[in-house]
Amino acid sequence: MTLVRWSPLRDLATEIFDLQREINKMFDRFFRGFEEEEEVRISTWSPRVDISETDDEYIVRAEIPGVSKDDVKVTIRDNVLTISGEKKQEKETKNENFHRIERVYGSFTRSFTLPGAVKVDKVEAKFKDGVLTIKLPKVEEAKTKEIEVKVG
Amino acid sequence: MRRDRSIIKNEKSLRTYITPPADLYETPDAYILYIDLPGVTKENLNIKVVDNSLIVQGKFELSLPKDSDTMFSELAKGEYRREFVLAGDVDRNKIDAKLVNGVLILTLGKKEESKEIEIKIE
Repeated sequence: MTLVRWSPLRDLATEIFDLQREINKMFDRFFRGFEEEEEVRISTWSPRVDISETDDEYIVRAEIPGVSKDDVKVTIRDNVLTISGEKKQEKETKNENFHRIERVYGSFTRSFTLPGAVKVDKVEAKFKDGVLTIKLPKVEEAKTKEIEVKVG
Repeated sequence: MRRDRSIIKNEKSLRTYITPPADLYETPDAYILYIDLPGVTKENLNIKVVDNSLIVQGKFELSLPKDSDTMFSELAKGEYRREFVLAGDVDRNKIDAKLVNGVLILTLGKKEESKEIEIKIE
């Protein structure tokens, strides 16, 4: 047995990492197939999203109020959908003449691994009233097929 | 009369609303209010001044295809509502509203007599 200097902080850190790994695993199991790329997230805020699936497509909705159409970027690379952009503060706070600031500002990125292949050239993105809607049509093979089994 | 109204007010408050975040700035001529209301259209937005308060209420409707499975559900669903008490120097007739990219921008003009004037020293 080797002697190791006891460091309470290091022990605590490993414990926290273990716990984090456990929690991540739990979430991974929960969102299997549509998991978020945790390591890509370095931004200070991330928009809230809704993702739903129909037989033909995936629909992603993100709330990004206060961002203009030109400041939003949607990309798909290696089956990873990324929404990024920047929310700029409308008013300069030079004079510090504010009473309250509750809204968040800054750049954001959010990435999602798509559970199946999508027709990249047919992806539709719309931005209206601060809500970004992305429709990703599924590739034929990725659609769920129902096969009827006849029991003879 | 007053009692009746308070009852109505209480009944209304039983509903739960989403509280949208807001920024409030002050300039010498006006107060400027920014409220994040993603998904709210002009038609679904209601802004009114009752007594001393400014009430902003808006609906957000999501139209999803019937046979869809939800994978992520983080968006707040329901109705937005926020009430602000107006400062005494707000001119009720000088309230402007604009809705840009899901953000409501309200400009509340100040009363002429309560504007800041600089007095020159002779």
